[in-house]
Amino acid sequence: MARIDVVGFPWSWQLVYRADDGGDDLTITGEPPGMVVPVGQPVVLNLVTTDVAHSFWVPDFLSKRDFIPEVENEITVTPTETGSYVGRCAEFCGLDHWRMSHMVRVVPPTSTRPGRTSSGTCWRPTRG
Amino acid sequence: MTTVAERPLVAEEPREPERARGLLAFLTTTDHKRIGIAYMVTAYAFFLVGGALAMLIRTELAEPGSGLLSQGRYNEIFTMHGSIMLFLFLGPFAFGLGNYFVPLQVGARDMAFPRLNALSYWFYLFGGITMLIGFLAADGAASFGWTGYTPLSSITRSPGIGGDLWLMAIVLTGLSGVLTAVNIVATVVAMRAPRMRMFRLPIFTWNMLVTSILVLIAFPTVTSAGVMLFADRQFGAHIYDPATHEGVVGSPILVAAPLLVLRPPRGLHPRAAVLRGDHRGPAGVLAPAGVRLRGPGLRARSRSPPCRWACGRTTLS
Repeated sequence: MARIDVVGFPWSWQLVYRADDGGDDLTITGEPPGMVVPVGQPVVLNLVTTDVAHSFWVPDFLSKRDFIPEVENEITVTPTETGSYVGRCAEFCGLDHWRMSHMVRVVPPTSTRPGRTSSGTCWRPTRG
Repeated sequence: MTTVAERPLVAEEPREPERARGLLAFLTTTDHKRIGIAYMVTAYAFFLVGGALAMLIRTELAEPGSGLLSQGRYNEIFTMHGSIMLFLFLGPFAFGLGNYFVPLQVGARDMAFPRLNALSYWFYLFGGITMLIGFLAADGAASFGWTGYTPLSSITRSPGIGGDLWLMAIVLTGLSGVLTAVNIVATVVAMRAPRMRMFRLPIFTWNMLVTSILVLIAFPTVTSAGVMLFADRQFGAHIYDPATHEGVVGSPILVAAPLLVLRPPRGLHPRAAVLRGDHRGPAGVLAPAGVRLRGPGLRARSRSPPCRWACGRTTLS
Protein backbone atom coordinates (compact mmCIF):
# COMPACT_ATOMS: atom_id res chain seq x y z
CA MET A 1 0.00 0.00 0.00
CA ALA A 2 1.36 3.36 -0.95
CA ARG A 3 2.13 5.68 1.92
CA ILE A 4 2.50 9.37 1.38
CA ASP A 5 3.45 11.93 3.99
CA VAL A 6 1.53 15.08 3.34
CA VAL A 7 3.27 17.92 5.14
CA GLY A 8 1.22 21.07 5.45
CA PHE A 9 2.87 24.40 6.11
CA PRO A 10 1.86 28.01 5.54
CA TRP A 11 0.85 28.07 2.77
CA SER A 12 1.51 25.02 0.67
CA TRP A 13 2.20 21.32 0.91
CA GLN A 14 5.12 18.99 0.64
CA LEU A 15 4.50 15.42 -0.44
CA VAL A 16 6.91 12.66 0.56
CA TYR A 17 6.49 9.26 -1.00
CA ARG A 18 7.81 6.76 1.48
CA ALA A 19 9.78 4.07 -0.28
CA ASP A 20 9.00 0.83 1.51
CA ASP A 21 11.42 -1.16 -0.63
CA GLY A 22 14.59 0.52 0.57
CA GLY A 23 14.76 3.07 -2.20
CA ASP A 24 14.98 6.80 -1.81
CA ASP A 25 12.03 8.78 -0.61
CA LEU A 26 10.61 11.05 -3.25
CA THR A 27 9.80 14.56 -2.14
CA ILE A 28 7.51 16.68 -4.19
CA THR A 29 6.97 20.39 -3.82
CA GLY A 30 5.66 22.88 -6.29
CA GLU A 31 3.10 25.54 -6.88
CA PRO A 32 0.80 23.75 -6.52
CA PRO A 33 2.39 20.42 -5.65
CA GLY A 34 1.04 17.45 -7.56
CA MET A 35 0.25 14.11 -6.03
CA VAL A 36 0.05 11.00 -8.17
CA VAL A 37 -1.90 8.04 -6.86
CA PRO A 38 -2.97 4.77 -8.50
CA VAL A 39 -6.62 4.17 -9.25
CA GLY A 40 -8.39 1.41 -7.38
CA GLN A 41 -5.76 0.97 -4.68
CA PRO A 42 -5.88 2.32 -1.16
CA VAL A 43 -3.38 5.02 -0.38
CA VAL A 44 -2.53 6.04 3.17
CA LEU A 45 -1.86 9.73 3.62
CA ASN A 46 -0.05 10.71 6.82
CA LEU A 47 -1.07 14.23 7.64
CA VAL A 48 1.80 16.07 9.26
CA THR A 49 2.10 19.67 10.34
CA THR A 50 4.70 21.37 12.44
CA ASP A 51 3.09 24.78 12.62
CA VAL A 52 -0.63 25.56 12.48
CA ALA A 53 -3.68 23.48 11.79
CA HIS A 54 -4.56 22.70 8.18
CA SER A 55 -7.05 20.35 6.65
CA PHE A 56 -6.67 17.90 3.79
CA TRP A 57 -9.64 18.21 1.55
CA VAL A 58 -10.07 17.03 -2.00
CA PRO A 59 -13.75 17.70 -2.60
CA ASP A 60 -14.06 14.82 -5.06
CA PHE A 61 -12.74 12.37 -2.47
CA LEU A 62 -15.73 13.09 -0.26
CA SER A 63 -13.53 13.10 2.81
CA LYS A 64 -11.60 15.58 4.83
CA ARG A 65 -9.24 15.44 7.78
CA ASP A 66 -7.38 17.97 9.86
CA PHE A 67 -3.69 18.46 10.35
CA ILE A 68 -2.99 19.22 14.00
CA PRO A 69 0.49 19.74 15.46
CA GLU A 70 1.62 16.78 17.55
CA VAL A 71 -1.42 14.77 16.53
CA GLU A 72 -0.90 11.88 14.15
CA ASN A 73 -3.73 11.96 11.69
CA GLU A 74 -3.99 9.85 8.62
CA ILE A 75 -6.54 9.35 5.93
CA THR A 76 -6.93 6.41 3.60
CA VAL A 77 -8.38 7.02 0.19
CA THR A 78 -9.15 4.61 -2.62
CA PRO A 79 -9.70 6.58 -5.82
CA THR A 80 -12.14 4.94 -8.20
CA GLU A 81 -11.75 7.10 -11.30
CA THR A 82 -8.73 8.41 -13.09
CA GLY A 83 -8.41 12.10 -13.61
CA SER A 84 -7.08 15.28 -12.08
CA TYR A 85 -8.56 16.71 -8.93
CA VAL A 86 -7.84 19.83 -6.99
CA GLY A 87 -7.39 19.80 -3.24
CA ARG A 88 -7.62 22.77 -0.96
CA CYS A 89 -6.72 23.53 2.61
CA ALA A 90 -9.98 23.51 4.54
CA GLU A 91 -8.84 24.87 7.88
CA PHE A 92 -8.18 28.58 7.99
CA CYS A 93 -4.42 28.88 8.46
CA GLY A 94 -3.52 32.50 7.97
CA LEU A 95 -2.82 35.13 5.38
CA ASP A 96 -2.44 33.07 2.20
CA HIS A 97 -4.74 30.23 3.23
CA TRP A 98 -6.92 30.94 0.20
CA ARG A 99 -4.25 29.89 -2.26
CA MET A 100 -3.07 26.79 -0.43
CA SER A 101 -4.05 24.10 -2.90
CA HIS A 102 -2.60 20.99 -4.48
CA MET A 103 -3.37 18.74 -7.41
CA VAL A 104 -4.11 15.04 -7.24
CA ARG A 105 -3.76 12.97 -10.35
CA VAL A 106 -5.26 9.50 -10.31
CA VAL A 107 -3.53 7.27 -12.86
CA PRO A 108 -3.92 3.66 -14.05
CA PRO A 109 -2.29 1.23 -11.63
CA THR A 110 0.46 0.24 -14.08
CA SER A 111 2.24 3.35 -13.01
CA THR A 112 2.00 3.31 -9.26
CA ARG A 113 5.36 4.84 -8.69
CA PRO A 114 5.78 8.52 -9.10
CA GLY A 115 9.06 9.70 -10.45
CA ARG A 116 10.81 12.55 -12.05
CA THR A 117 10.84 12.94 -15.76
CA SER A 118 13.53 14.61 -17.78
CA SER A 119 11.64 17.87 -17.77
CA GLY A 120 11.79 17.90 -13.98
CA THR A 121 8.08 17.62 -13.42
CA CYS A 122 6.70 15.09 -11.04
CA TRP A 123 3.43 14.73 -12.82
CA ARG A 124 4.18 11.77 -15.01
CA PRO A 125 4.97 8.69 -13.00
CA THR A 126 7.49 6.16 -14.22
CA ARG A 127 6.61 2.53 -14.46
CA GLY A 128 7.37 0.71 -11.27
CA MET B 1 -46.97 75.80 79.62
CA THR B 2 -44.71 73.97 77.36
CA THR B 3 -42.20 75.12 74.87
CA VAL B 4 -41.88 71.85 73.12
CA ALA B 5 -42.95 72.18 69.55
CA GLU B 6 -45.69 70.01 68.30
CA ARG B 7 -44.54 66.91 66.60
CA PRO B 8 -46.42 64.72 64.26
CA LEU B 9 -47.46 61.48 65.83
CA VAL B 10 -46.12 59.41 63.00
CA ALA B 11 -42.60 59.82 61.76
CA GLU B 12 -42.56 61.20 58.30
CA GLU B 13 -41.86 58.52 55.76
CA PRO B 14 -38.54 58.92 54.04
CA ARG B 15 -39.19 60.35 50.63
CA GLU B 16 -38.65 58.05 47.77
CA PRO B 17 -35.56 59.00 45.84
CA GLU B 18 -36.44 60.76 42.67
CA ARG B 19 -36.67 58.53 39.70
CA ALA B 20 -33.73 58.86 37.39
CA ARG B 21 -34.50 59.88 33.87
CA GLY B 22 -32.90 59.61 30.51
CA LEU B 23 -29.33 58.44 30.37
CA LEU B 24 -29.03 58.13 34.13
CA ALA B 25 -32.03 55.82 34.18
CA PHE B 26 -30.42 53.66 31.55
CA LEU B 27 -27.12 53.60 33.42
CA THR B 28 -28.56 52.72 36.81
CA THR B 29 -31.54 50.54 36.03
CA THR B 30 -32.02 47.06 37.36
CA ASP B 31 -35.46 46.73 35.83
CA HIS B 32 -35.82 43.61 33.75
CA LYS B 33 -37.82 45.31 31.02
CA ARG B 34 -35.36 48.13 30.58
CA ILE B 35 -32.42 45.75 30.60
CA GLY B 36 -34.23 43.52 28.15
CA ILE B 37 -34.81 46.42 25.81
CA ALA B 38 -31.22 47.57 26.23
CA TYR B 39 -30.07 44.07 25.34
CA MET B 40 -32.19 43.97 22.21
CA VAL B 41 -31.26 47.45 21.03
CA THR B 42 -27.57 46.80 21.61
CA ALA B 43 -27.74 43.41 19.95
CA TYR B 44 -29.48 44.92 16.96
CA ALA B 45 -26.79 47.59 16.69
CA PHE B 46 -24.13 44.87 16.65
CA PHE B 47 -26.24 42.97 14.13
CA LEU B 48 -26.07 45.97 11.80
CA VAL B 49 -22.30 46.16 12.24
CA GLY B 50 -21.96 42.43 11.54
CA GLY B 51 -24.22 42.81 8.50
CA ALA B 52 -22.11 45.67 7.18
CA LEU B 53 -19.05 43.44 7.50
CA ALA B 54 -20.88 40.71 5.60
CA MET B 55 -21.59 43.20 2.82
CA LEU B 56 -17.88 44.01 2.68
CA ILE B 57 -17.09 40.31 2.36
CA ARG B 58 -19.57 39.86 -0.47
CA THR B 59 -18.38 43.00 -2.23
CA GLU B 60 -14.81 41.75 -2.16
CA LEU B 61 -15.90 38.32 -3.39
CA ALA B 62 -17.86 39.83 -6.26
CA GLU B 63 -14.54 40.95 -7.71
CA PRO B 64 -11.81 39.04 -5.88
CA GLY B 65 -8.49 40.79 -5.79
CA SER B 66 -9.98 44.10 -6.81
CA GLY B 67 -8.12 45.80 -4.01
CA LEU B 68 -11.17 46.69 -1.98
CA LEU B 69 -9.76 44.75 0.96
CA SER B 70 -6.25 43.50 1.52
CA GLN B 71 -5.82 39.83 2.40
CA GLY B 72 -5.21 40.61 6.05
CA ARG B 73 -8.13 42.98 6.25
CA TYR B 74 -10.39 40.41 4.62
CA ASN B 75 -9.37 37.85 7.26
CA GLU B 76 -10.10 40.36 10.00
CA ILE B 77 -13.48 41.10 8.55
CA PHE B 78 -14.74 37.55 8.25
CA THR B 79 -13.39 36.78 11.72
CA MET B 80 -15.18 39.75 13.20
CA HIS B 81 -18.34 39.09 11.22
CA GLY B 82 -18.59 35.57 12.64
CA SER B 83 -17.70 36.66 16.14
CA ILE B 84 -20.11 39.56 16.18
CA MET B 85 -23.02 37.56 14.84
CA LEU B 86 -22.46 34.65 17.21
CA PHE B 87 -21.27 36.27 20.39
CA LEU B 88 -22.81 39.73 20.19
CA PHE B 89 -26.08 39.23 18.34
CA LEU B 90 -27.72 35.83 18.39
CA GLY B 91 -27.43 34.95 22.06
CA PRO B 92 -27.82 38.41 23.57
CA PHE B 93 -30.87 39.19 21.46
CA ALA B 94 -32.61 36.07 22.71
CA PHE B 95 -31.55 36.90 26.24
CA GLY B 96 -33.06 40.34 25.77
CA LEU B 97 -36.37 38.73 24.90
CA GLY B 98 -35.98 36.41 27.87
CA ASN B 99 -35.22 39.29 30.19
CA TYR B 100 -38.31 41.11 29.11
CA PHE B 101 -40.79 38.27 29.02
CA VAL B 102 -39.70 35.56 31.45
CA PRO B 103 -40.47 37.51 34.65
CA LEU B 104 -43.82 38.55 33.17
CA GLN B 105 -44.68 35.03 32.17
CA VAL B 106 -43.73 33.43 35.47
CA GLY B 107 -45.46 36.18 37.42
CA ALA B 108 -42.41 37.66 39.14
CA ARG B 109 -41.73 41.32 39.85
CA ASP B 110 -38.29 41.11 38.35
CA MET B 111 -35.55 38.64 37.64
CA ALA B 112 -34.23 36.66 40.58
CA PHE B 113 -31.03 38.73 40.72
CA PRO B 114 -31.74 42.18 39.26
CA ARG B 115 -28.29 43.62 39.90
CA LEU B 116 -26.59 40.59 38.48
CA ASN B 117 -28.82 41.10 35.49
CA ALA B 118 -27.60 44.67 35.06
CA LEU B 119 -24.03 43.49 35.50
CA SER B 120 -24.54 40.92 32.72
CA TYR B 121 -25.73 43.63 30.41
CA TRP B 122 -22.73 45.83 31.10
CA PHE B 123 -20.36 42.93 30.65
CA TYR B 124 -22.02 42.27 27.34
CA LEU B 125 -21.97 45.88 26.14
CA PHE B 126 -18.33 46.48 27.06
CA GLY B 127 -17.35 43.06 25.79
CA GLY B 128 -18.82 43.98 22.43
CA ILE B 129 -17.09 47.35 22.41
CA THR B 130 -13.83 45.65 23.35
CA MET B 131 -14.19 43.34 20.37
CA LEU B 132 -14.90 46.16 17.93
CA ILE B 133 -12.06 48.30 19.24
CA GLY B 134 -9.76 45.76 17.64
CA PHE B 135 -10.31 47.55 14.34
CA LEU B 136 -8.54 50.57 15.80
CA ALA B 137 -5.46 48.57 16.78
CA ALA B 138 -2.31 49.07 14.75
CA ASP B 139 -2.32 45.48 13.49
CA GLY B 140 -6.06 45.40 13.04
CA ALA B 141 -8.68 43.22 14.65
CA ALA B 142 -8.42 39.50 15.33
CA SER B 143 -7.84 37.61 12.11
CA PHE B 144 -7.63 33.95 13.09
CA GLY B 145 -11.25 33.00 12.44
CA TRP B 146 -14.01 33.05 14.98
CA THR B 147 -13.02 29.58 16.23
CA GLY B 148 -9.65 30.96 17.34
CA TYR B 149 -7.80 27.68 16.87
CA THR B 150 -4.29 27.45 18.18
CA PRO B 151 -1.51 27.58 17.09
CA LEU B 152 -2.78 30.15 14.61
CA SER B 153 -4.15 32.27 17.45
CA SER B 154 -0.94 32.00 19.48
CA ILE B 155 1.11 35.09 20.15
CA THR B 156 3.79 34.11 17.63
CA ARG B 157 1.36 33.53 14.78
CA SER B 158 -1.02 36.39 15.56
CA PRO B 159 0.97 38.94 17.50
CA GLY B 160 -1.52 41.77 17.09
CA ILE B 161 -3.31 43.22 20.08
CA GLY B 162 -6.59 42.68 18.22
CA GLY B 163 -6.39 39.02 19.21
CA ASP B 164 -6.14 39.92 22.89
CA LEU B 165 -9.06 42.30 22.63
CA TRP B 166 -11.05 39.59 20.90
CA LEU B 167 -10.25 37.12 23.69
CA MET B 168 -11.22 39.59 26.40
CA ALA B 169 -14.47 40.16 24.55
CA ILE B 170 -15.12 36.42 24.45
CA VAL B 171 -14.51 36.22 28.19
CA LEU B 172 -16.76 39.20 28.98
CA THR B 173 -19.64 38.16 26.75
CA GLY B 174 -19.29 34.54 27.85
CA LEU B 175 -19.48 35.61 31.48
CA SER B 176 -22.48 37.73 30.65
CA GLY B 177 -24.19 34.76 29.06
CA VAL B 178 -23.47 32.49 32.01
CA LEU B 179 -24.77 35.02 34.53
CA THR B 180 -27.91 35.68 32.53
CA ALA B 181 -28.54 31.95 32.22
CA VAL B 182 -28.17 31.55 35.98
CA ASN B 183 -30.62 34.39 36.41
CA ILE B 184 -33.21 32.92 34.09
CA VAL B 185 -33.00 29.46 35.62
CA ALA B 186 -33.34 30.91 39.11
CA THR B 187 -36.25 33.09 38.03
CA VAL B 188 -38.15 30.26 36.41
CA VAL B 189 -37.50 27.77 39.18
CA ALA B 190 -37.86 29.97 42.23
CA MET B 191 -39.80 33.09 41.33
CA ARG B 192 -43.00 31.68 39.91
CA ALA B 193 -46.22 33.14 41.22
CA PRO B 194 -48.32 30.95 43.53
CA ARG B 195 -50.00 28.15 41.60
CA MET B 196 -47.95 28.88 38.49
CA ARG B 197 -46.76 25.34 38.06
CA MET B 198 -44.04 24.41 35.63
CA PHE B 199 -46.53 22.92 33.19
CA ARG B 200 -48.56 26.10 33.13
CA LEU B 201 -45.62 28.12 31.95
CA PRO B 202 -45.84 29.38 28.38
CA ILE B 203 -43.72 27.60 25.83
CA PHE B 204 -41.44 30.61 25.48
CA THR B 205 -40.39 30.49 29.10
CA TRP B 206 -39.83 26.77 28.87
CA ASN B 207 -37.63 27.39 25.90
CA MET B 208 -35.61 30.04 27.69
CA LEU B 209 -35.19 27.67 30.62
CA VAL B 210 -33.91 24.84 28.47
CA THR B 211 -31.68 27.20 26.51
CA SER B 212 -30.27 28.62 29.72
CA ILE B 213 -29.42 25.16 30.96
CA LEU B 214 -27.66 24.46 27.65
CA VAL B 215 -25.83 27.76 28.01
CA LEU B 216 -24.69 26.74 31.46
CA ILE B 217 -23.22 23.59 29.96
CA ALA B 218 -21.62 25.17 26.89
CA PHE B 219 -20.50 28.69 27.75
CA PRO B 220 -18.22 28.09 30.74
CA THR B 221 -16.02 25.84 28.62
CA VAL B 222 -15.73 28.39 25.85
CA THR B 223 -15.13 31.21 28.30
CA SER B 224 -12.44 29.37 30.19
CA ALA B 225 -10.79 28.36 26.92
CA GLY B 226 -10.61 32.09 26.17
CA VAL B 227 -9.03 32.79 29.55
CA MET B 228 -6.45 30.06 29.03
CA LEU B 229 -5.60 31.27 25.55
CA PHE B 230 -5.18 34.77 26.92
CA ALA B 231 -2.83 33.37 29.58
CA ASP B 232 -0.93 31.59 26.83
CA ARG B 233 -0.54 34.76 24.82
CA GLN B 234 0.26 37.19 27.61
CA PHE B 235 1.82 35.16 30.42
CA GLY B 236 3.49 32.33 28.52
CA ALA B 237 1.33 29.63 30.04
CA HIS B 238 2.06 27.18 27.18
CA ILE B 239 -1.28 25.47 27.67
CA TYR B 240 -1.84 25.14 23.95
CA ASP B 241 1.80 24.96 22.96
CA PRO B 242 2.69 21.58 21.41
CA ALA B 243 6.39 22.03 22.21
CA THR B 244 7.79 20.60 25.42
CA HIS B 245 8.66 23.03 28.18
CA GLU B 246 10.47 21.56 31.19
CA GLY B 247 8.88 18.22 30.60
CA VAL B 248 5.36 19.57 30.23
CA VAL B 249 3.63 19.30 26.91
CA GLY B 250 0.69 21.46 25.98
CA SER B 251 -1.71 20.60 23.24
CA PRO B 252 -3.30 22.77 20.59
CA ILE B 253 -6.30 20.46 20.56
CA LEU B 254 -7.27 21.82 23.97
CA VAL B 255 -8.65 24.95 22.39
CA ALA B 256 -10.74 22.97 19.97
CA ALA B 257 -11.96 20.57 22.62
CA PRO B 258 -13.87 23.08 24.74
CA LEU B 259 -15.39 24.40 21.56
CA LEU B 260 -16.28 21.01 20.21
CA VAL B 261 -16.65 18.73 23.21
CA LEU B 262 -20.36 19.31 23.27
CA ARG B 263 -20.78 19.17 19.55
CA PRO B 264 -24.02 17.48 18.72
CA PRO B 265 -23.97 14.72 16.09
CA ARG B 266 -25.05 16.94 13.27
CA GLY B 267 -21.91 18.95 13.53
CA LEU B 268 -23.18 22.13 15.02
CA HIS B 269 -20.97 24.09 17.33
CA PRO B 270 -22.51 23.97 20.84
CA ARG B 271 -22.88 27.68 20.73
CA ALA B 272 -24.60 27.50 17.38
CA ALA B 273 -26.83 24.71 18.65
CA VAL B 274 -27.73 26.72 21.71
CA LEU B 275 -28.42 29.76 19.62
CA ARG B 276 -30.51 27.87 17.16
CA GLY B 277 -32.51 26.55 20.07
CA ASP B 278 -33.09 29.83 21.77
CA HIS B 279 -34.74 31.43 18.79
CA ARG B 280 -37.21 28.63 18.56
CA GLY B 281 -38.90 30.01 21.65
CA PRO B 282 -40.06 33.25 20.06
CA ALA B 283 -40.76 31.37 16.85
CA GLY B 284 -42.93 28.91 18.72
CA VAL B 285 -44.98 31.80 20.04
CA LEU B 286 -45.06 34.11 17.06
CA ALA B 287 -45.65 31.70 14.21
CA PRO B 288 -48.84 30.16 15.61
CA ALA B 289 -50.11 33.58 16.67
CA GLY B 290 -49.60 34.84 13.14
CA VAL B 291 -51.82 32.17 11.65
CA ARG B 292 -54.23 31.95 14.56
CA LEU B 293 -53.46 28.39 15.37
CA ARG B 294 -52.35 26.83 18.57
CA GLY B 295 -48.67 26.18 18.37
CA PRO B 296 -46.78 23.05 19.25
CA GLY B 297 -48.39 22.34 22.55
CA LEU B 298 -46.57 22.69 25.77
CA ARG B 299 -48.21 19.46 26.82
CA ALA B 300 -46.80 17.66 23.82
CA ARG B 301 -43.37 19.00 24.51
CA SER B 302 -43.54 18.42 28.21
CA ARG B 303 -44.53 14.82 27.59
CA SER B 304 -41.21 14.28 25.86
CA PRO B 305 -38.98 11.89 27.83
CA PRO B 306 -36.38 14.43 28.99
CA CYS B 307 -39.04 16.71 30.38
CA ARG B 308 -40.83 13.86 32.07
CA TRP B 309 -37.58 12.72 33.53
CA ALA B 310 -36.68 16.16 34.81
CA CYS B 311 -40.09 17.03 36.13
CA GLY B 312 -41.02 13.62 37.43
CA ARG B 313 -38.11 13.44 39.79
CA THR B 314 -38.09 16.91 41.19
CA THR B 315 -40.60 19.13 42.81
CA LEU B 316 -40.55 21.46 39.84
CA SER B 317 -44.15 20.86 38.95
